[in-house]
Amino acid sequence: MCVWILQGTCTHAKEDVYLEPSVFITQSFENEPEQKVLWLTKDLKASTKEILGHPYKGMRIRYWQHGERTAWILEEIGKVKPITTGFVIEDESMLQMQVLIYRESHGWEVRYPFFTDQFKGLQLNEQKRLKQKVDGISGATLSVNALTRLSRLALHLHQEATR
Amino acid sequence: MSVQLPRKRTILAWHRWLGIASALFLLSLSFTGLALNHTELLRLDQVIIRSSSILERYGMAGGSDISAYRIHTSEALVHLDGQLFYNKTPLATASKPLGIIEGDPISVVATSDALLYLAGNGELIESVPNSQLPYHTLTAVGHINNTTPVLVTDAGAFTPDADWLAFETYQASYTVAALPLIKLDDAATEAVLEAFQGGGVSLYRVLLDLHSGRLFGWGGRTAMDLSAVAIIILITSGIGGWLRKSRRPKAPNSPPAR
Repeated sequence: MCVWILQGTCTHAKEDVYLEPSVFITQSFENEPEQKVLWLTKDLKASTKEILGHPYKGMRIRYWQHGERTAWILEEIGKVKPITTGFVIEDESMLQMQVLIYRESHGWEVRYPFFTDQFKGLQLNEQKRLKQKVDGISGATLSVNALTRLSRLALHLHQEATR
Repeated sequence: MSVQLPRKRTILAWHRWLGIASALFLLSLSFTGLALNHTELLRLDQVIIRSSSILERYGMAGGSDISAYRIHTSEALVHLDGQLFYNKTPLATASKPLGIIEGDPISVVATSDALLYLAGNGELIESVPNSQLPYHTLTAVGHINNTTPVLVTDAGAFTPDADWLAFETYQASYTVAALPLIKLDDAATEAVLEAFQGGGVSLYRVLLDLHSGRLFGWGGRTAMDLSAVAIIILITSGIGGWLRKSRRPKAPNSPPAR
């Protein structure tokens, strides 16, 4: 039984790929998107730090765009490992948020639609905060917080990229 | 009703051999316990241990695990225990570099699981994992006529565009050369180790773990547990031996006590 428990515990300790990032990008656009990069200026670095609570590691962020729609693949650490998440945004409103790769041992419930569907239609207010409240999940608080921060970042980056 | 004690000779034999067997551990317990009791006086928390054999006990890699490569003419790209450094500045978590493609304004460090784009001053521009590239694993980095880089992967060979944003399949010939290692001097090695290990561990921590046996993992902890049990047995056998002696009847012709 102990072996079964250990196996059960370790099931989610490895890297779980729910959707390949390249497939996510393909599914997010009806036509072939253009791959672009957003360079982080001094102001943009300051605002990303304000949203994430720590500096973004890197000087530019890759994204895909077709028309007014952009897609972003961003990573943020939940507890100890990065969660790779895809965002699709159009007209400053979130169309889709999807967990692509999950590496933490706990909190993988954030991948399910009952949680990710809350992000559809989300927008930022002037204080770069989400206009609507996102309900958390018991036992997955750190992952929920990480994805909420990433959502704010994606919406903010979209504003900057399409300005 | 009297308790039947073992023969005195048996008790003393057990006492002797158990004492000898556990002496080293008991000495360790005593000395480390004494030292830990006077941590402030001995300033144990201010003495930092950087010995590689001790640091390896804490899972910290030592200088022998360093691989260094030349980048930007005179700078060093260092790999240590899954971490890449530009000189002594941490860059990213990554596997060992397979190739370094220097360019202006972007230089690229190619590893088996990601491409790291660096600025001329070594600052990380972007880290692109394989999941965002047209392949799963990079196996080597080649060149066409020593100019255009070629990424040799499990999905075939690819050449990047000038900005390293898009990649095209490449099927003609190319040459592959292993990335040469360089030897870091002692000061550079020390700087990387300090950046990686965070300055080592305090003597207080080491003594505390030596006292509990945790420094040697599960075996050390068990040995210290057995030493504690040995103390209990030594006390019992010592008292047992003394009781055995005190219960021995006096000989009838023994001289009177003065």
